[in-house]
Amino acid sequence: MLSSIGYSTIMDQISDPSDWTGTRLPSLLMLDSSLRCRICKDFFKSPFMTECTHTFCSLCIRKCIASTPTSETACCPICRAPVLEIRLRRNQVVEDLVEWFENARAAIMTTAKEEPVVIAVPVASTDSERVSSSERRGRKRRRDSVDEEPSTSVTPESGDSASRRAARRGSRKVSYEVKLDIGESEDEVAPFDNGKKSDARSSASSRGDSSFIILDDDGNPDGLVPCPVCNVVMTPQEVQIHLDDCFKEQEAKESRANPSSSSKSNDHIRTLQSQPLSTKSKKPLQRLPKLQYDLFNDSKLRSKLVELGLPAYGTRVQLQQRHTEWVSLWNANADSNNPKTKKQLLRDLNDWESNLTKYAVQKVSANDLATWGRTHSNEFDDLIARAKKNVQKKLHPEQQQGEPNTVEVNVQNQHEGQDSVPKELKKVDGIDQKISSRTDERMDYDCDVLKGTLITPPVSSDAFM
Amino acid sequence: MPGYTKRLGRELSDLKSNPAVGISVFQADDFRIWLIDIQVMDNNPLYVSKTFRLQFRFTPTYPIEAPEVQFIRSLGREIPMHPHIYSNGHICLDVLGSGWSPIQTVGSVSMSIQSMLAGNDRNERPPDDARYVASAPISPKQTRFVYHDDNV
Repeated sequence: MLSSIGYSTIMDQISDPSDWTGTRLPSLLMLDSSLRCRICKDFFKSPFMTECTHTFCSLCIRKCIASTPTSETACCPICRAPVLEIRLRRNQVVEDLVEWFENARAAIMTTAKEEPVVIAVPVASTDSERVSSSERRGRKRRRDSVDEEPSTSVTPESGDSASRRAARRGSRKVSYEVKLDIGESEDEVAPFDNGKKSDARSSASSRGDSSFIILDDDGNPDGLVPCPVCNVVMTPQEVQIHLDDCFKEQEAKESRANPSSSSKSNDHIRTLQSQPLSTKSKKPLQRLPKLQYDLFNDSKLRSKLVELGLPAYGTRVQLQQRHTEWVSLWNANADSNNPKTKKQLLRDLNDWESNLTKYAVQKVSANDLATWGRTHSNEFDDLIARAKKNVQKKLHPEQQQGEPNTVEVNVQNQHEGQDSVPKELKKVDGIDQKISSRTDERMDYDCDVLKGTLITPPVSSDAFM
Repeated sequence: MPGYTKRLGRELSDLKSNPAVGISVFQADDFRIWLIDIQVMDNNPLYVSKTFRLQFRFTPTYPIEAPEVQFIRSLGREIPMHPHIYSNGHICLDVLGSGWSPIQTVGSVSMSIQSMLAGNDRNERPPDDARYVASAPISPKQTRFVYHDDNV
């Protein structure tokens, strides 16, 4: 059982999208939550995308698929579309986004908490600079102008203390680190050949540094969106057409893998990808296949586990569970950019298993069974009385012939809803005493039968409604 | 730290920071059992001004597998009358069994049950209530419910 201390430390350690509420940047809540896996609620770890374009952590979706009885029944947790494990694809963009956001999160959070929420204040000056978070983000894109004239871009507020100014500068600095690559690529990329966009650009530049481009929430000129691949800003319709070419171009560049050939616009993509590529080339990890457990008898399964370097003790079910979990852990680790060592993985597996056993022990706690015995004491009494009567009946006409078997049948008939009575009869402390205190020694076996029926109910009792 | 405790910690902070109307955490001292109080917010005469208590029991396999969810009796907390809720508190609801998906949360399940109550106008128990309760397993998850009535 978790101690209350462990509980509170867990509550302190975890980060949550709701951390952003009450800060200066509440709008980051949505960004934060969309970079999290819907299964574990944590930031994506080795994000993988299903065919229905939903993204999960590699381990989460693999475990989810492994938990279904057959691979045909596996479905997307979000939309329930069928999911095949071999069709999962890495979602590199999301992985990079998470990495960058996680790196910057603490710093952004500190800055966002430093200053109270400032409501957008319209300023009478001509350059219509405002201190609202969305527009500030827009300004970040125009890095040059802000860098050159930092003082003009700060709204001259009456209560603008030095510390507040410092805090604001700090925030800008942080965001530069995050956005730097993107800003650069946008500034220096050759303009995409279309009239509309260059119009927007030229009109913006002609207005000079003090002018203000109307930017939407994403920090782009109104109505325009950036290409998700190269970040060039254009209208949504143009993106559709442009995207295919852009993908091809990028793929060609990647396949060449020649640093000198790629233009500066792709620099940020390459820096982000260089890390996974280098680790991968060091030691490619093989994925483990799933097993069709029906084809393996116990000893074969054990030797398979030994072959994988796993402990081979336990029941058949434990062996299967252990293998399934190991395959999920291993394959998710193989997906990771920074794979763990096998030793660490084995420790993870051990933790998982000890948690399961700890829970199993807790589950059959004396407390539960005592409550169960109390709530069903009337039924126990009733059944014991009936069983006694039956035994008496049998004993009287045919001396010593009344075997408990017949009693068992009678008891079963009274419980129509059950498919079978488990053969294994559990000894349960509280109830054992309770029943034996009411009955003489002759009744012991019968009571065991009764306990079997009541305490360990069949796993499947149908209920129709 | 096992993954499921982290996830439950997040759910708890979410339940406390953005509480849904009529759903409140009564007890969540560990990551094994939580008690959630729910109220039906519309003016359903069956449940007006009543509060019911749900018990969630989690396993280390949560959220890949569904938690055990049932109503429990307590001081001032009865088992709501509903054609899909047995008098021992077991609930026949597909999201708690075959319809479970790991993206469900304690909050979303509570809301499903809340709306299940809100949409009910029959002051009755399931037809096989007595028979089921007499032989019901401790855990509702061990019951294989057959969902064939989508009207209520």
